[in-house]
Amino acid sequence: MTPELPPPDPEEPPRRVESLRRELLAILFLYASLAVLPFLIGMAFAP
Amino acid sequence: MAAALSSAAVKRTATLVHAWLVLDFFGESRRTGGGGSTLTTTIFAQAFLALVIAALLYPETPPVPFAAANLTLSTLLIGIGALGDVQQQQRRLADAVLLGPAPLRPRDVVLARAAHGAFYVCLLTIGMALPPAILFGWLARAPATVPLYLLLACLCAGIAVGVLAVLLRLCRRLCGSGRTALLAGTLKAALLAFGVVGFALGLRELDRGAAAMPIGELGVWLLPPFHAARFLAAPAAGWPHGALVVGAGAGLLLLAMLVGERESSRPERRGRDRLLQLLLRALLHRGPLLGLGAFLGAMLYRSAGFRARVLPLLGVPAAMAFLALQDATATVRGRQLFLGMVLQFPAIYLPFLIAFLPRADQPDTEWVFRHSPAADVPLARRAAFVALTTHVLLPVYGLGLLTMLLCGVGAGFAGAAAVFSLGAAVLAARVQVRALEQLPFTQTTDADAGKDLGSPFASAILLSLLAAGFALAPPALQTGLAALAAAGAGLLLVQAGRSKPA
Repeated sequence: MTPELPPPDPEEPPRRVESLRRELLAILFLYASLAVLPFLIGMAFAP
Repeated sequence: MAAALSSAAVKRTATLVHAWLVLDFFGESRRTGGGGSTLTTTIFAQAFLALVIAALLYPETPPVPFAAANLTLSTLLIGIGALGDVQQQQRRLADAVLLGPAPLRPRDVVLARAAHGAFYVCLLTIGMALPPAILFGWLARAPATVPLYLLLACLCAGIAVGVLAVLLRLCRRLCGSGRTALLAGTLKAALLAFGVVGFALGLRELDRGAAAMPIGELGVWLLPPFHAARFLAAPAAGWPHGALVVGAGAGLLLLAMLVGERESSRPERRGRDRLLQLLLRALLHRGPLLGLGAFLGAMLYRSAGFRARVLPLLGVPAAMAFLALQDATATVRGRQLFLGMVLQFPAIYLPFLIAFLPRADQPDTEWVFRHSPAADVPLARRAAFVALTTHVLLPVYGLGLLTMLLCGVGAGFAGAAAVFSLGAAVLAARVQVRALEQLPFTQTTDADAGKDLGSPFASAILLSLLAAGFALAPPALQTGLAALAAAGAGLLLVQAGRSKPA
């Protein structure tokens, strides 16, 4: 029988669970923004 | 059967790559107890910087200089980042423990390392390369060059990381991991100082061709980003440049395999008492103060973390001064004023150096002093003042004096300016060590070194005014001020070695 975990300390804020998937998704979202902004700049100031 | 084995090998490789990526993203925050990913923050910051630089250069800059400048920026920052991790030694030791008893074939480990390295470099590089790639597509009126730009950016970054990795492997094989960590910190400072300052100066000369760059035409031809840019502008005609970049990458891979991962088994020799350490001993005499001072003097040079943080601070003004001294059009007065201001930078940066002092490279270093009742913070402040003077300020100003003389600055002004600036820095150090609240090199988290940013700003303004006043004074007065500063510094040092702590 697995022992129960102790209850969380009410004074300590809940720690955000690490997630590699979440970080990679955030980076993909950044890439999407980085693609849109220069595209608009390039179009606006095209030589 | 073969398919099942192959699938198992892929899973093993993927598990290793996943574990290493988790350490890359969350290792630092786990160590310091913070939250979030430090790597994601770095990617965001670098990508934003690349977007700003690319947008500033667009659309006046021609395609080849535009691509070369942006590829150089991404390659430089990725290279600096590859040197910046002082935890690399701990990671390598942890890998040896993880992989040693694991049921993995050597080729699985090699494949995992290659996959992890390639993914990591591409992840960082694409963030920096995407904005200039799209703008280059508009500039060259060729949208098909966008994926080619990204590929070449990853290749150039990979070459930079590869060159540094091979260099460090060679050093580790010949000199051991301790000296290699110190070399990595020094290289980082040099790249940050000369690379970033040279890049900024080169941006002004983009339209004037390769010969106008700070590193000269030969230096430009040795850079992979230059050849990548030539290939991008005209892929059909510029294929030799593309082939050169690919060939450099392949050659580097071969060299890395030849050098291997072996480490020197030569035992680390005990350091001899050098001149600076002898000077420190002469000032601190005996007892706990001498013990703490000698410990500080050794750690200031042997701590890879401290070196990696401090050298860039000192390297940037050094590079600015060196590159400015090459400018033949400056007047004598203007050059003296500029040099006088730059010589105050070490004193202006002292609060940040002092803030870095409590940080240790290894955990639980505090135990060294837990059994020493005489080692307290007031004693540490006196020891830090003397150690910073003998091991940081004296060598920095000595090198500054030598550089000025080699670059043709008059011996009278160079000597007086160096001595005056050293004296002012020693006086500033005596005041600023009061911000030290913990014993040096004993804490594993970043010390809270001062919420008060007013004091460093005030001292920066005061030192700048002193420097300007000194530079504009007649030569006889400059000599007098330098003598006064030297006498004052000497008195403070002697007093620190003798008096009881406040």
